[in-house]
Amino acid sequence: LLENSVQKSLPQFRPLDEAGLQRLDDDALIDYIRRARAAGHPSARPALAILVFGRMDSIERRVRLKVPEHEVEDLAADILVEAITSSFDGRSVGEFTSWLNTITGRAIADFYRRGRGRALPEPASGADPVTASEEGEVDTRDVIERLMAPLRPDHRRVIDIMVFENGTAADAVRAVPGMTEGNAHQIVSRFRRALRDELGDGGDTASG
Amino acid sequence: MTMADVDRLLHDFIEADRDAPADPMPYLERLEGVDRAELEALIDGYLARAPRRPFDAAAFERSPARAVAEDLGRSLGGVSGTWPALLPRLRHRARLRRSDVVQRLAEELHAETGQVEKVARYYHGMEQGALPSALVSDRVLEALGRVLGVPADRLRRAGKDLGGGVAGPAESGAFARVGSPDPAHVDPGTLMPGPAGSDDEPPDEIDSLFTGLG
Repeated sequence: LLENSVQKSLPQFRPLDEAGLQRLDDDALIDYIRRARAAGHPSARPALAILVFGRMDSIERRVRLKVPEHEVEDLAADILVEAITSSFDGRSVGEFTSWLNTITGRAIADFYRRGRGRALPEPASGADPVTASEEGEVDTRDVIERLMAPLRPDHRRVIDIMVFENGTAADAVRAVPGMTEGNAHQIVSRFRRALRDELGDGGDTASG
Repeated sequence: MTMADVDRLLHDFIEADRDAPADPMPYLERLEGVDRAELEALIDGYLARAPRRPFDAAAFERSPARAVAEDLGRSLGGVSGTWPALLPRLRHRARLRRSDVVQRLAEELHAETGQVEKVARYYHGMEQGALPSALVSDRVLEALGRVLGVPADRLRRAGKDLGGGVAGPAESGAFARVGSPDPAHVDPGTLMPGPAGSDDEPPDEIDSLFTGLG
């Protein structure tokens, strides 16, 4: 009787097919894997494949911008393993995509700090890993995130649309209440000038 | 080159990436100095925000993502924490075959010739997620750390279970087909004293080191 009441109190696991899994965002997918794992349902496997396959390519290309080609595949794999396993043992912080970006920045910084490819990166802890290190190294967040972090959310959204989504000022006006095309252009222009200033001053631009 | 060139190349890269994953390098190679650094930062920012790539089963089979998913599946479905994901990578970094690791580990543990196969079976269980990590002794992890070039405490932390509690049949069933481990090697029953060898063979020191029993 007790067992039945416990089972009734737990959210019921509803298996999804591949199309249903594809519609889930990363955090929902991880939650699905967790529940499928607990239920012993084989759809945990395709769910994990969808997550890994869907993120591997972008991680590899980001790593390739910074480290030698022959190290790219290993480091990208390390990043994904660390990001996903830490989502299951409670070490991750916040949304998976942000956490993955944090792990990526840290792994690349570790790669150079420890000497190229000498060992796997240390596991991430739950603490914010993107502040200054004990060795006095600079913030390992990429320069874009550093510049955007202090901005207002609506200004960040304008930059996302017009810079990273190939959108127009009209697109930004439609997406951000109260925004004008003139303001949108100004926001992007200021951002780009700040970016060039940062890079021209010897900012975080190290390439492999 | 100007900021307008950076804008155009970023625009072209994003457009190309909508059809299929685009390689940033040909775009970057057309610039130098601050312009190149700016385009690199912008492409990195774009990739950090890029939506998840839609699943393609055929591409997945050919992709490095498959091996990563298998390693993760063995970790999530097993009882060895992240050893299935960590140990093969450490071995690869150290440029060691599994048989090399087993041989060196056996030497470190002063295993006799007849015990090397047992060490191999236990080590295979660690890589496959079939050997309960909490039972493996510090001496084994210290020896393995020397072989693979990592501190023993790193291996111990990696062996902690993922998500609370030791995985049971449900968890292993969820990922049963990931990695397709050799049942001759990964059945936990074969990793324990007695059944590891024969019913007539009592557990020895190797069994004790890997399972706490013996």
